[in-house]
Amino acid sequence: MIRSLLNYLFEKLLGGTYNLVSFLVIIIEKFFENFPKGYFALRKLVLKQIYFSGFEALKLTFELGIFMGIVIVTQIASFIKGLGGINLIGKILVIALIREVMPLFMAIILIARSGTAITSELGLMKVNGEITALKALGIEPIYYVVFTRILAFTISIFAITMIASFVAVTTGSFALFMFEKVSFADFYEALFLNMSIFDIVLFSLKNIAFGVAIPLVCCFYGLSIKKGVTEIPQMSTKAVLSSFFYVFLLNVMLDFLVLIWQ
Amino acid sequence: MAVKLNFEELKITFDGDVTSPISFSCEDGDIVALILSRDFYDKALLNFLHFLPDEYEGNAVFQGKEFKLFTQEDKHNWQKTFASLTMHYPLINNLKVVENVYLPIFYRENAKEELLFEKAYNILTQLGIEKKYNQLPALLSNFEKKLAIFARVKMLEPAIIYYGNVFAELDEDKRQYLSGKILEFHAEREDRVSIVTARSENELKEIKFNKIIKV
Repeated sequence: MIRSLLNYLFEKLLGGTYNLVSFLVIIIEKFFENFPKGYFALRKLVLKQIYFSGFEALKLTFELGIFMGIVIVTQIASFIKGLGGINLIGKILVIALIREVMPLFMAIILIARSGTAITSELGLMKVNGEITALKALGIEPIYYVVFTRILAFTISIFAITMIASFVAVTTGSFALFMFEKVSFADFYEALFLNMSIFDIVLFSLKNIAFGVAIPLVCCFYGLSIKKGVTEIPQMSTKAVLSSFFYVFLLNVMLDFLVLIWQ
Repeated sequence: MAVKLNFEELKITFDGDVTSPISFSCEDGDIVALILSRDFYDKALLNFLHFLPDEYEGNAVFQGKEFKLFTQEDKHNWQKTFASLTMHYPLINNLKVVENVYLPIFYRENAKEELLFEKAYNILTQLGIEKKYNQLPALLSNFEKKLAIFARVKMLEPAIIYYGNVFAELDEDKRQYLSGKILEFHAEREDRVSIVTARSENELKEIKFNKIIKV
């Protein structure tokens, strides 16, 4: 019984990942088969998707950045007061906030906000026959619908995570100044002295990885809908849960990778 | 470009089912009626004509070449030649009506959007739905959706058009209006071939056909 349970889990996990990797390979193939066909049409669609995924999320990004900045920085400061001073705060901020918390947190926000929308939208397109309609019009759906969403999402998540990190660090510096009388110069000096190329690379890699994984998973589940509109909410839930899983998995994998590199 | 389409005892496999044998031919300028007893034949023919699958029996010839023997270039040329007006291939719901109309050309030819917009708007005006240009398809009536899809077809300027059961559920006024527009479009090119399908001859009484084939 344990063996069959293990087999089942193995199949579920690896089978699911295999399907997603195959889907990614198909997307890359379709891109090279079709590019630069429909360049202007695709560009318009990418900009539209960046507006929905990125620009419309700006208000939320700012709010979360402010809250995260105040909470994390002041909590760190109060915890390690006297242990290592401002330099230690800078190091912990880089590791905790910029390398770990912000990319993961923004990915989770975007999964909830945009991931469900992508799955539902593509599901409806599939059920309504719009995907077949695109094919009939000579437009490759994977290239036009899926690739554009992945590209736009990656650009959006990178941009809004950078903005959120900037806002968090800035509000954190204000909070430290107000509550712990740490000057802005000391704070930013400590922050930049403790930031290395590995941190920037890890930050970038995480955002790119999350930016590809989330729409990949959501598009996959959206296009998997076969029976009808009743399947859409079920697939949206599966897409969200799967996206969480792969985001956390990629987070761990990338942390290990940079750790080995360092 | 001369157009000659010839189907001889064509049996198409689609979705686990097979059509009855379909035989008809079209010369330049023909307007042909296909009375199809089942919706399945419409879907099968549309799938065949758009996606050119290899799973068929009999002969299907375009300009002297069998469909099965089409090269990539032949398929590309066929795609430029053929278009369909059918609710099986609907408008894209997250694009406005005018964007739907010029999307295929915008994609295919990388043309300037402003010029395509103007042409698409003029076509919508010819069909009488220019006021809906900025709306999403969900807000259109079924008849307006058909006209918008027709505008999309007109934008492509194809030589062969398949009108898939377009008169279904239309009252007499709308049938007459649509028939008039189809005939107008057909007459724009001497070599244009129009294939109009329906479930009964009654739906097609507004148009005079060269041939009427029952399947």
